Amino acid sequence: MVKLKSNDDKEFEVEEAAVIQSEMIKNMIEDGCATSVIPLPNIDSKTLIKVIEYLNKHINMGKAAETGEEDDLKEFDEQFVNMGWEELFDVIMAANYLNIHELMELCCQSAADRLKNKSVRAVREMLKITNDLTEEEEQEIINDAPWAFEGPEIDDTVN
Amino acid sequence: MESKEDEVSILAMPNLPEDLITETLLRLPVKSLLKFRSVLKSWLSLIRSPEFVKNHLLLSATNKDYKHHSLMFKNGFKDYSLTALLYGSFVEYKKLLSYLSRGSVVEDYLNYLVEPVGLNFGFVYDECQDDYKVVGFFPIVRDRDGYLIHIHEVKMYSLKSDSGRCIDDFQGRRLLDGSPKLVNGKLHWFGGGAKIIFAFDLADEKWTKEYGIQQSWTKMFTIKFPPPQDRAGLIIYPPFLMSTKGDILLQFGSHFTRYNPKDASIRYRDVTNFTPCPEIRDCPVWEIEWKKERDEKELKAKRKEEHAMIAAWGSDSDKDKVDETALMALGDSDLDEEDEDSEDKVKGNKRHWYLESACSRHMTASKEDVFDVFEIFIKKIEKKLGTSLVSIRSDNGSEFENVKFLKFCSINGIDHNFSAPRTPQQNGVVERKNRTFEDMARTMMLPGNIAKNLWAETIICNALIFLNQSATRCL
Repeated sequence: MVKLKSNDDKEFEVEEAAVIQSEMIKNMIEDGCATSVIPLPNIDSKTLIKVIEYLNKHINMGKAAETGEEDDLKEFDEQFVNMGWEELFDVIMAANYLNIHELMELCCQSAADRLKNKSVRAVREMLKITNDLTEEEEQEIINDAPWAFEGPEIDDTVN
Repeated sequence: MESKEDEVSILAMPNLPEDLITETLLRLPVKSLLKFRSVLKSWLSLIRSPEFVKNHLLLSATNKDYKHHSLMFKNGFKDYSLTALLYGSFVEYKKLLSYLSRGSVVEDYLNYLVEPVGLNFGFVYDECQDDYKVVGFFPIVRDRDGYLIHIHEVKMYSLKSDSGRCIDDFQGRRLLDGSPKLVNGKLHWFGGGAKIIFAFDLADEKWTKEYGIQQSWTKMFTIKFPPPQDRAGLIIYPPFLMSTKGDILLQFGSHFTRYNPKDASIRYRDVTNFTPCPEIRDCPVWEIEWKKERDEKELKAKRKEEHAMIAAWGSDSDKDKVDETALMALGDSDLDEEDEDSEDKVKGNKRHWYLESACSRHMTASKEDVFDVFEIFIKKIEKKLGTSLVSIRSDNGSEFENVKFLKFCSINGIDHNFSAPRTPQQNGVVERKNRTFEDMARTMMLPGNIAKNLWAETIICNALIFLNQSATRCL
């Protein structure tokens, strides 16, 4: 068992088999630095719980294909990324910090999928971005590839 | 209020470290990226940077689910999303032209390449040189010791240098089948009835030879022809790809099909707006075990229909005109080496072609070459006339009665009638025609004072060409 400590001083115990999916912690264990508690100053407890949930589920990922649990895992992944933007970004940052490649892939792809068909206006609103381009600059970009801005799939709603 | 604003600014995407924004944007399709250039200045410069473009391409190209891959059909530049074709609930094609920027060199080149009928080309990204290349095969006719032979000239166009050049060292005479596949930086073509693989190395721009060793190939899967009730067509075309799940995407008749080699199951994919593309005839027939179950009349009518479509597509003019011009073209270039005693009946109005194999006592050509020439000739004639070959009549010469011929005929549904052995009388028309050739040749040689050892050349180069071009049928 390995002990992880979030930035709000809560401790979590995780199986070693699960936690070594994180390259960072794997290296620490190999170097013998994981004897006591590992402090994670960039991750709060709410995010850490999420990450640990993912790690525990994906413990046997290599074997999943053989045992036919692939679909089960896929369903879990779909449910897992079903969270708000803020939470998603927190998980992305945590996954980046802990260097968990699969989780990073999953969350970034999910973010990309959510943005994919959104209109520019919707994206700005969703991500709370203030436009810093002038109207001319914007028009120039639209004229450059007008087909990118039209199509039945473009979604102007914010959710 | 202030605290809430603080929270917002921390959680908004611009406050993600830039490399994480990049990670997310890298997973978007091109269309979305072009759109999102106008979200924010920093996004604009990021999406425009060459490094981002390169990484995006790499990530899209290696995506295991083929999320960003699509199938391109040269006829009208249609493209279909691969994920949707394999596993999506419905598929709609997009017009590809809109993806290419106006007046781009690639578009010009593609247009240029598509025009010659039956041309094979590969459009690829060369990773080593960071360049886009088009490798195309151009059929040309060369004079070799008095014989006109068909070879293919390979030309390669590079987008980076905006220039095309000829790659000389491919001297193969055979037609290469279908479009090439890119594996390990090499373009692979099938040649000689799927018996040889030709590989073109994009890095050093040379042909690889060692693929000729059949023992070094591995059979990955076999596609079984489905039972009658499951058939959507008569022809299975070469597979497009094998997905990571082991399913194979292929075209069966005019339907996209997902085939599972494990249980030989077939799923037809519904495609909105997919009309059978005429260019499917460009593809080689990959495997057919079709038996004469259908009424032959029905089949012939169907074929006629299919071919009429090609003719119209090939030249954009009415069909009669195609027939005429094709005939002229055939007369001057195609009857270079001809097969003795064969006659092709073309459609109802019975157009006969006399082919001289040049393999008899008075000729010296190699019997092994006959099949290759015949195959090319048939392909050309079918393309040019927009009809198909129905039957061949020949004697029992070993140049006709062999495995290659048998296979070719059964694959293409051609009847091959043999005359009874040692009974030239049954081949009356052709034998009489031979006499005409000989008489013509003699007549031509006499006044011209031509040496007797040029007998073969006279028959091939002159007598036959005259005969095939002459307007009267009496000869």
